[in-house]
Amino acid sequence: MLRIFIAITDNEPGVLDRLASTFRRRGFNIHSLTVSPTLDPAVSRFTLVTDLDDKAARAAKSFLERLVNIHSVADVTGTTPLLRDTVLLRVAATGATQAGLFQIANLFQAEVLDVGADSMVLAGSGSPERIEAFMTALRPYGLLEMGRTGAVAMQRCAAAASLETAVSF
Amino acid sequence: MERPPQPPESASASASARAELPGAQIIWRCLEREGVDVVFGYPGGTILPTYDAMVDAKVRHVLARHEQGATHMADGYARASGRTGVVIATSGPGATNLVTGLATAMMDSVPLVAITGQVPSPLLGTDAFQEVDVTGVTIPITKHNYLVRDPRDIAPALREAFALARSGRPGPVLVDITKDAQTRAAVFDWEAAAPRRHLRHVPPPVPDDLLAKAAAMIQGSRRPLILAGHGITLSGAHRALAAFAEKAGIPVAATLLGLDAFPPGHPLFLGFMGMHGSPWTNLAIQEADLLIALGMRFDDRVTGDPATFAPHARKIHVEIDATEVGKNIPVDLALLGDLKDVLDRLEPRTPSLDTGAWLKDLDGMKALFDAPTWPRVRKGEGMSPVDVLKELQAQAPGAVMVSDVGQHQMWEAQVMRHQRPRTLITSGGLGTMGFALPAAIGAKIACPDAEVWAVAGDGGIQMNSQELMTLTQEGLKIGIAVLNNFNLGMVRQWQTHFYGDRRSASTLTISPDFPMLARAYGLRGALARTPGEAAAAIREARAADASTLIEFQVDPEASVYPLIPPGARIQDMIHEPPSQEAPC
Repeated sequence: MLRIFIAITDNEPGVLDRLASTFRRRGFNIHSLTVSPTLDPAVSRFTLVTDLDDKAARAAKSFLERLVNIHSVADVTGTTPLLRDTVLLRVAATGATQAGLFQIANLFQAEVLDVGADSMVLAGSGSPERIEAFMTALRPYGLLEMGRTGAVAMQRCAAAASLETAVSF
Repeated sequence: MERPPQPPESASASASARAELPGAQIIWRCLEREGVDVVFGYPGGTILPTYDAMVDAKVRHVLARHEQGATHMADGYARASGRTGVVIATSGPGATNLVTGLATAMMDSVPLVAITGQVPSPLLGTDAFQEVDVTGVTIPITKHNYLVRDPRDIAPALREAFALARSGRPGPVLVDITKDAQTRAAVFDWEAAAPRRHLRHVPPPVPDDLLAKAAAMIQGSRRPLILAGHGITLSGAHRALAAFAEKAGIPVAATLLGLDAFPPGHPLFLGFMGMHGSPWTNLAIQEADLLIALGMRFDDRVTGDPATFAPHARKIHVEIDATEVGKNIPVDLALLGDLKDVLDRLEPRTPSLDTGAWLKDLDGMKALFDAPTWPRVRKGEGMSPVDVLKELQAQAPGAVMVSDVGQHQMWEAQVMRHQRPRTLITSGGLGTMGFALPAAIGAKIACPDAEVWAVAGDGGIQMNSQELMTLTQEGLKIGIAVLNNFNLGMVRQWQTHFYGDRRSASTLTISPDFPMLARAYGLRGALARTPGEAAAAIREARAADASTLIEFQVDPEASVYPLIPPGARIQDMIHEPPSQEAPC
């Protein structure tokens, strides 16, 4: 099943390499990965989505927690975390189909970023499920290219306090 | 993160009171402050500034003949002394030659700090002469590593490296320092460089309620068994182990690296477990109703088939590294923390069990297997390798034994009685051939008053034989026992058992004249082909002033028994050769 980990790490060179290496050597594939600095610029936040069974997920968390650069790792899979993902899609578009595409964009609160002679580029944002629905709606028009950020996750207010407050040093 | 070459504002106040030093001098100041008395290394282009500064440093340098040898020396030094070993090498091939040594130390949790030179920072990533991305290469085989490009980062990196190497589960840490960081100057501020991150993942003391739970599990057990691993020695817990085992009346089995953690003559000591362990020890594991695993990791060489391992036993795992819990074998209770602390606190809570019936059962198993006749090898042509080791045991009972990897390593583990912690030094996890000779050099430097023996095969001794020169150079006296069976014996044995005895690249049809090789390096050399010659050669080696290499020519077809085939059930252990071979 898809697992969602949030790792709070030092913001310094090599952290991504160590984290990825922990997965690579055990043959665990990383489904998506986002990283950016937190409110404290010396600290980074990773959201890592991967497909692992329970035992492998426990092992992955434990191996990540052993890394010196890592402050904390949370497996938030079971906490129905808040997820946001952004997709850029190039869709085949002719004069006849443009109007339908604009309607779909409107329905999904997506942006039309560019319109060309035979294609359009749309940007959609939302939960991974909403993006899947957006793509399903667009698929009949002919999807030509996709770029996707991967999920950024945060736990719900009721589920946990800020993961960043756990950072001591 | 790249920093400008000027000192930062925050440091300027203290800077006015302290002179700046070149990075190379900061390295040595740090090593001195860390209490390092000896480093093992090999110079080269990008580490030259550090070697230049070494001339004025109060640290002994041992010049190896190969960087791999230097790493194993630092490893042997660390294992024998309990201190952190230090190895220094240049960039590129110097650094890659450390890889096997670092991986060896990583697998066996040995505290090492490796310092490598790196090309000047403007050349990083340009495929400059002798440039290799050693921090990238060593991520999986170090606890942590650093690429230092600024002299101000040297002291913080080195202090943290030492703290990390010895904290929690020990291991190797590499610090890669560019040549310009060694030559440029910075303020040396030891206090400001105090490490903190090593404390991040050290578990807090085990809560009392978990200790009570463990005590209750022990109380309810009728056939408890302690599995003692390397963690006993690493946490200095051998006395705590003895106190705990004696109070509770629980027998003790040991992993390869736990063999020196419990007195071999103790009535509760059951001996060596695993693939080549004693039959009764392995059967005790299968019969036990409670396993108390202390600083061991249920390695595949211990468990065989994990699904059928210790089927009747509940398991308590005391371990400092959380990744080990449940990794190979599911456990019922994990006590995450320092082993000595856990045992010291568990012992008063532990009941004295009446294990008389269980101990009697174990005696019955020993009798069933005729324990005194083990380890068994065939009575074949040539001298028995087991007899050679028995002779060594008889003459040098208190020696620090440093074994290589292969058949002789298993016979050493089966025969020799390691009386004190840190008297068995061997590459357990990685199984590194070529380890014994350089590690024995490191052990001798750590314990100059101890008798040290390296035991190797005719294969392994040739993997780092260049370090014979280091022995003579340093004026060290050790013994080197080469058990020459004219084969890569363990490979040959597996081919015999698992590949229909088809011998593929396992026969060493030609080897150097080992005694002559020793003499070429300035050592004494001896050859023994009979038990009488063996006894005399050992006697003379022990009486001599210089190191002696003794080549013992032994039965080429002798095999190590018992043997649990890889991945097989413990009860499937093989006791004797396939039928085409002569019986034991």
